[in-house]
Amino acid sequence: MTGHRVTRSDRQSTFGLAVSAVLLVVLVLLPWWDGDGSLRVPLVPILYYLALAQMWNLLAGFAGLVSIGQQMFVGIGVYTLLSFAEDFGVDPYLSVLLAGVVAAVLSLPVAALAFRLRGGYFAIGTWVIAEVFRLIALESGFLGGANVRTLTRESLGGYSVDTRNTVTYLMALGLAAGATAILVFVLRSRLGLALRSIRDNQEGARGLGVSVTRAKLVVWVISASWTGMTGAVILLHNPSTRAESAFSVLRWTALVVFIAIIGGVGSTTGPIIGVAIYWGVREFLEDADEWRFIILGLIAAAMAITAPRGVYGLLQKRWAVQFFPVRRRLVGPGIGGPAPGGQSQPAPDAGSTAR
Amino acid sequence: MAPLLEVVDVEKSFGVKVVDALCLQVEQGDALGIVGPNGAGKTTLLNLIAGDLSCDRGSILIEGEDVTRTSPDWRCRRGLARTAQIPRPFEGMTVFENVLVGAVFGAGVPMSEAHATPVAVEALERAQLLSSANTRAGALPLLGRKRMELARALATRPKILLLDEIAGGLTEAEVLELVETIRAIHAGGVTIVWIEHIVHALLAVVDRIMAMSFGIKIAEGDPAEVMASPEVQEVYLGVAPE
Ligand SMILES: Nc1ncnc2c1ncn2[C@@H]1O[C@H](COP(=O)(O)OP(=O)(O)OP(=O)(O)O)[C@@H](O)[C@H]1O
Ligand SMILES: [Mg+2]
Repeated sequence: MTGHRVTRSDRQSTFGLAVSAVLLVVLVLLPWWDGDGSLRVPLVPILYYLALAQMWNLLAGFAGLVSIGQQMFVGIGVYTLLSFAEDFGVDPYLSVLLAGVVAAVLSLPVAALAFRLRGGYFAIGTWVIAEVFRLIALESGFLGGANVRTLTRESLGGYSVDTRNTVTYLMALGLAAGATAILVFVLRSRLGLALRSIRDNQEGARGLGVSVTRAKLVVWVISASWTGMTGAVILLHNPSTRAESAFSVLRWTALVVFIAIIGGVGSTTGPIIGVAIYWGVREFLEDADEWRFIILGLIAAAMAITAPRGVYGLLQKRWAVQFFPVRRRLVGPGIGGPAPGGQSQPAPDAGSTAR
Repeated sequence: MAPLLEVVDVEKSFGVKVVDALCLQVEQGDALGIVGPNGAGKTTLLNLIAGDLSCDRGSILIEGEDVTRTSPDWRCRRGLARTAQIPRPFEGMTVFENVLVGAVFGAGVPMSEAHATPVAVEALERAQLLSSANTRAGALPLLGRKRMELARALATRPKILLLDEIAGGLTEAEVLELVETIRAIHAGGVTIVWIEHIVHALLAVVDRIMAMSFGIKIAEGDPAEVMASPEVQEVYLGVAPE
């Protein structure tokens, strides 16, 4: 009507999309030339950490929900898969989807409690609730109590080792790529518009009709569900578990937070960079689990102080890059403003961590 | 028919009473000005009406419906929009995106972006901000921020628009431009409630004025009469009628 329209992409983000598409195709085809699984298997943790980091990033970086209870959804996913596959004989791969459903359903009462809390209290609250879930798993005879539980060969059906490796790998890849795609998709949607406005000025957003609680709740459920499915895939990769490790705050939240912070919270690209750095540290310190935590924790702490927007923030400052097109540009008659690319007045990739 | 906006016996206290037993009726098509010295409780009253603060007592009605216990976003979707005395921009977003938020979420039911875009463009045009549509909001100067407050509020397609000192801090020429803009908005059928210290700007738009002091309504009626009344002369202009 007015002759105005909205465009999203510029040259950089089209380039970014092209690069990620090529990378994704290569990763999908990987099993066909990786005969013995020597590439697939070690990539799985990298991929599921990317999925976890993106989901935490969605919560903390875009919805202001700084959760340190993500391990509850990982644990819920692990135990859902165990129960359905071991106790009820449901196909394990179908059970991965059920893990997402169960995590989404359980995230609602958790939200009813935790959403009453603000800021730091919310963070502590999610942690406490996650501890409650861990204790339930620990005390529950049905779930196996403190014992080690294993996803047995029987419940994995007739699938050969090779098939299992490939399916687990592809699922982890789907979760990682899917998590990134969800982020881009959410940010491009009306929900993303609401989240960005809330992040910049919550009262202002409310005054313009944005239902803050609803927007946050939708994000919370998405993140819980995806994290739950990721938990199930973690079990497929590493079939023996205990309540202590399934609900480990160190593994499934602290490390995830480190990865996200190092790469850059509040951007779609940051966690990808963070997980690449995690991969490097992991290769470097192969068998030193504790040292991995300590070193990544120190890097994250240093980053949080010196470069709060992470490595991606540093890159963005230097080159004004935007890999995934989430920013809207109005084009049409009567509009002046910066040249395409927006370098003279960069509107950050939905990404300023100003809160 | 019930008035568009009704404020019934509303009270708010921050230790001291800042709004005290205040009643107000605004009919469809009105243009009401609110004056009063600094700290009189004008912004607080606006916050109570918009739902940014909750009333200690009394009730707020929109078109006869009691909205006292509802959230600001709900009231916005019922047709009430406001500009804030201290602008509340989404600094990391462009001016267009700022206004788009109002267009998408301020409608009764959230609108698709495709439908909301022309609404946002029209609001930008009315607020004379179209040329800076792709500027980052954080980079706007004061006048731009005030215009953006107005554009965002307009994009929600309000029945009633609450303006809080939207002319404050502007140059004389800018004030005159803004007055024209607000007149046009009022002429377009939007009911206006305007808090303003710049009396001549107010007089150019409103057809009624309410004066308040220490949270109490001290006068209401014809603009010229209210401004000339001894009560207002005393408290608002600091002139004691001897
Ligand atoms: N959130 C708050 N907490 C405590 N006191 C407040 C709060 N908001 C306002 N006040 C006090 O309430 C009184 C009325 O403030 P208000 O902002 O409503 O006045 P105003 O009429 O809008 O003044 P101005 O013309 O300066 O904008 C002032 O004394 C102010 O200090
Ligand atoms: Mg005020």
